Amino acid sequence: MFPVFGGDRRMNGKLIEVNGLSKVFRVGSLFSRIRLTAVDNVSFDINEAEIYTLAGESGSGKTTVSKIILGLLEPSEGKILYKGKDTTAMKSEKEKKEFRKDVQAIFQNPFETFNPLRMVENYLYETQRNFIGAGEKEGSERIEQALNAVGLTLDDVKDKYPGEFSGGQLQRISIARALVTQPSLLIADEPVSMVDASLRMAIVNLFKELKEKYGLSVLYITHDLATAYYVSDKIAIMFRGNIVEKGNVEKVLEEPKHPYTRMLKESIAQPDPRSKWNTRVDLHLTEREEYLLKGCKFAGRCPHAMDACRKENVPDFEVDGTTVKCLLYR
Amino acid sequence: MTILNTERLKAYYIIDVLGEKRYVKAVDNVNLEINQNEIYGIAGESGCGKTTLIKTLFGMVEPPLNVTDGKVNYKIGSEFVDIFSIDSKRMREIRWEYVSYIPQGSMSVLNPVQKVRYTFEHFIKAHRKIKNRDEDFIKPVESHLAALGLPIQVLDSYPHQLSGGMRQRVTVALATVLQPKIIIADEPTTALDVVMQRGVIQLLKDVQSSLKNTIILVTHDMGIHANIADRIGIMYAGKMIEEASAEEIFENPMHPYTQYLIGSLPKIGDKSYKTSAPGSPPSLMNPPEGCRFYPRCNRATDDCKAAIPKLIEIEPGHKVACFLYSGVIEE
Amino acid sequence: MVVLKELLRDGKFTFAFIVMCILIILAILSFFSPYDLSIWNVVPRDLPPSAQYILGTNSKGQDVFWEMTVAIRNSLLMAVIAAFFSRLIAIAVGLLAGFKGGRTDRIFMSINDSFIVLPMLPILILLGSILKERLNTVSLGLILAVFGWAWDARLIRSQTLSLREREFTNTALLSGQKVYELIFKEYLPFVIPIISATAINNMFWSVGMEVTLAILGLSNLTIPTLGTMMHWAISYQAMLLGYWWWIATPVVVSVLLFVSLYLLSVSVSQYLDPRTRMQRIGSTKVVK
Repeated sequence: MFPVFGGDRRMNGKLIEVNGLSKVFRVGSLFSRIRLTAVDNVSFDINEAEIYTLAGESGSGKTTVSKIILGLLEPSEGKILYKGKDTTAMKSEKEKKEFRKDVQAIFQNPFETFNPLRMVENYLYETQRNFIGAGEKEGSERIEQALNAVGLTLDDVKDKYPGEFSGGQLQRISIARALVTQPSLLIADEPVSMVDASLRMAIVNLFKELKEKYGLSVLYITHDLATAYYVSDKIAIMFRGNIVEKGNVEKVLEEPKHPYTRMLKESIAQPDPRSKWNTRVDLHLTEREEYLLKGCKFAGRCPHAMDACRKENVPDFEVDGTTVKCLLYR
Repeated sequence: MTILNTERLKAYYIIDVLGEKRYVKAVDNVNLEINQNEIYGIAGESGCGKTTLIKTLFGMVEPPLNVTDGKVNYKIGSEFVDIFSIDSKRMREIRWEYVSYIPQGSMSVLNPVQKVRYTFEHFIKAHRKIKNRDEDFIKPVESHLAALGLPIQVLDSYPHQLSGGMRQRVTVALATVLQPKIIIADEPTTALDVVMQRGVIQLLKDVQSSLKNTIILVTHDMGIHANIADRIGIMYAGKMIEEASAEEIFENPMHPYTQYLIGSLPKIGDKSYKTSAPGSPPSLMNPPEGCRFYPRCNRATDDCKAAIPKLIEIEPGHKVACFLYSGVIEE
Repeated sequence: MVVLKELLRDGKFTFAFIVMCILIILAILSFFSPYDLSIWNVVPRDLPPSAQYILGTNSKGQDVFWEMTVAIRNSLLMAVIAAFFSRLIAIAVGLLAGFKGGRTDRIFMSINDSFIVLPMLPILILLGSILKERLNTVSLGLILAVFGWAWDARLIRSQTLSLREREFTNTALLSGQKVYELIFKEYLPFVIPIISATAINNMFWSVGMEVTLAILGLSNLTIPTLGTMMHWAISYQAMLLGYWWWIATPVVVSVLLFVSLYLLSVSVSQYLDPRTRMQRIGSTKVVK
């Protein structure tokens, strides 16, 4: 059995604190460069043994946030404190390696996660060798444990290429690979959107189990609110780079306060013929226009939009335990 | 009133792996009856054969895909025509006017280097004579777009200037401008956001209720079926294993696979434990003998291993292929 | 040698393989030549093929058969040297530029493009006429190597660029792989088809260049190669005088060499193509 992960418990239970994170991209040709603020002043915290969902449509900035946390992108502004240490200030290779060991990730497309020309076990052994220092000869115990934790065995996986597995199996192997280093935080970017509906719950249940048994925290990034509701503790809803509402997942999704969250919730296709959509939705012509709006980016579609919404930057308000970025709650 | 049916349809991919012929039985003995003025949903996981099925329904059968048995009949006028027995000229006439197809991924239908207007024009010209440009082309297209709630500016845009949801709706408009009797849509909302998805589905519903035609919708997303389908057919490993009204499928699933499927769907407001079916779907190249679901079924008996159950009506309007309900074997 | 067996299933490869084996055997035979090919008039001149002289003799008084074996050896050697060294340069430049991107990429690519636009033939002719006697098999191979890497470096670079965008690059980085591991373990299997196909093409091109230079009289004519054989045969008017065996031999051998190189290139790159490779993976195993 794995011991409980992490081991380094300081900082009042907060595993990772994201403060005022911003990322600006310059898009366009040499002569007309537009600044696209993909991530705008984003702040949230994740505790130990907690599943935190970062939800939003595509283009909301959620993947950019995860890339910045993983160190694959540099932020334009803001800080990330992991276990009390500022990750953006990490210079030494040793520090970076410790971080990589403790924060792992899995991605959306299980068929692209592994090199189709290499056997999958190679990745498991390499992770072990690079972070734990134990090569193949030292034994496969840790790898066997990681595979067992996702419901597989080393025999299932030995001597096989990615093409011989299904999407669900590949995603599980991907999770097992991430578990080899016994991380404290797992970043899962759309882990089940390419897995069949009938197999999704097995993977999502796995996150719950890993949290309960091993104290693993998961940053779950998705646009699927139904699975987010099922598996997470807290949720932050992103829209065009801003977090518009965040808090306890039951509160936010059962009684949404921000107009965008309300619209999202209404638009979900609930698998229940008795609760069909009864209102109509109005689609927008282009996406880019919304990124460049001043003030609240949702003002263009919001049924409650006021003049002030288009002029000022909207601050956060605390309402009933939930944080909402909307002038309706001023 | 049946508008499309299939008889014992078998469509296999015949591939050559290092000198040996292998058969991928993507559609294996499927008998469908689809009516006028209904939305028929086809559900199933990836690899169950549903995309192959609708390609076959549309007549898009090219090697390595082969129709090895059976028929696909369209009701044209008052008679049933087997689309695989007519010549390609007649088939071209039928396509798009009688039956249209919305593929996965809207960009593939819209020409990326031309304004949307020209794609429409090209399309319509291929099927109708345009004598007076204004009357025969511009007015009908503009009123069609208006009826669907789409802004006319889309005609003057390039596909990449439109958002994903808008592009997909334009594709729907394109597929319906000639008012076909049957619209076949393959995963029309995959890769679209929740809100855009709703807009596209809403549009399909509007089209169907105004034209009173038939939509055959393929998606693995059960939420969409719940919101729009009248009847649903569940496919598993190349076979149709259950068929009933949408309400029946969700409230009274009978086949063990359907039960697993419905039971695993998460819903907001419900945090109770959900689980998936164990194992994974079989390879279509080497499906199990007997009932295809046998290896994963927790109520299987020895009979299930030996023979394939036939899809048969157990309750009015509710068909199931399972030995738990009937002993009828498929020939 | 499972790989060889699988390759031999392809008819094109089998033919090419046999021809190349014959040519290599002939090249090896050259070491056992009873004549020193730098000396003229060791045998009677201009004799047609007979039992004693299998392919006849030429106007320089040499046995055509043995001349051919030495020619094959020299031509092959030169081609291999050119192909080998140009691959090394192409791989290094392509992988580095593709992976690093940014400024490194721009610098490398401008050097690369300068080499592509160089007018090769005039420069080679110039070099040939200046260096005539000092050119030998090895030095000619190296010069051709310097001209032959640019195009392929670009191919390798674009392959590397696209591989960098693929998800498994992230997985490899998260598994703690360092850059060189990434390139060798993850990318190289994808890059190898390009390398082998272009290597063979490069050999093809090198032999062609050598023949061109030799026929124009611009390489070291004392060293027997396929090109120089042709040069001598032409300058001694072999066709006109009816000494067909002298001109036919290098031409036929050259044609066989080109054809087999081409077929090798096609069949090997087809075999190594990741797409066909993936089809083979797992198909030899029992499907459950």
